[in-house]
Amino acid sequence: MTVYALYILNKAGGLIFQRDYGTELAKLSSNDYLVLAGTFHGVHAISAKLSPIEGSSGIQTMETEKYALTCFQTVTGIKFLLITDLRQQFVDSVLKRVYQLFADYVMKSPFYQLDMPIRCTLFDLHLNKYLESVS
Amino acid sequence: MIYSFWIFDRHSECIYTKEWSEQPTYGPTSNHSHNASISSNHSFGSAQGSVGSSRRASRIEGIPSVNTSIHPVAKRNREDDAKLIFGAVFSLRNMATKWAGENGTDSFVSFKTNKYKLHYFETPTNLKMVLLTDPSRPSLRDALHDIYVNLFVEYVIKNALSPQEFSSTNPIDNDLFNNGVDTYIKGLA
Repeated sequence: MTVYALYILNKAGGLIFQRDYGTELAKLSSNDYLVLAGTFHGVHAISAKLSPIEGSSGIQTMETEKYALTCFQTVTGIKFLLITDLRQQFVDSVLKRVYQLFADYVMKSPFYQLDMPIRCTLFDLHLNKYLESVS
Repeated sequence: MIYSFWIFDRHSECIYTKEWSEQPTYGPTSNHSHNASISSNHSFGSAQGSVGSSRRASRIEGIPSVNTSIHPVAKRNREDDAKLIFGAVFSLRNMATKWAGENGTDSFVSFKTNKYKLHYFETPTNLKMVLLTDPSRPSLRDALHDIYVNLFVEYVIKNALSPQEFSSTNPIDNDLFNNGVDTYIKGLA
């Protein structure tokens, strides 16, 4: 599996972390990334509403012709979006591990303000190391 | 299990919908027979729209609705859902094209929740077809393409008596197409 990008959204749909890995996805302006995150947040809420069966979750995976986007939402409402190739092996375990790194190096950082963009060197470092080992 | 099928035209109007659920999400609009389809298509835009919105309003206030003209199972309004589906699909499609960049091409194919899966197919003329199924289905994009080529083009586009443009108040009302879609989808299930 190849990881193309990772987005982290806070519970209000704001983008707090965005990294591209590789050059597969087009480079966008930082404003565009915020718009994409907000859009996904909205569609995620809509998708749970329009389910033909009651009690549906929001979007879990979305596929285009070239990429697959997997969304993992924590109980606290934070969304981890992982954009990968279409093979999607072990996406769930990768997302779980990313969440662990987030908990360890972001949430436990005394300087991190909740719901604000993530600027934690340790998180960056460990995340890069982990995602490199996965790809 | 296939739940429902929707077509949106290039003006983003919902021009066709059909439902196969055992427990219908919407009112008694499922086109089981010719007569039913005619009456349903009339109530689709005007009457049911107003009933639905008043019902929704009363639900917000917590007062149980006393309107008996609408089917008891119909908790939701078909028109509202059509708009929601269109909104979702339109946004995701734009996301997919954003990632592809200015020179690349990519298109949205499907999304999945834990209860259902939405399959999407768009023609070069911006006709959008949406199919809602259970989450375990593999991609039904080819099926949607088949419906477009073998049913929509054959029975709706090539039909000289059919109007050129449809709208949510004047949806596709064509027995050949209707029955064709029904048979095709039931063949998939």
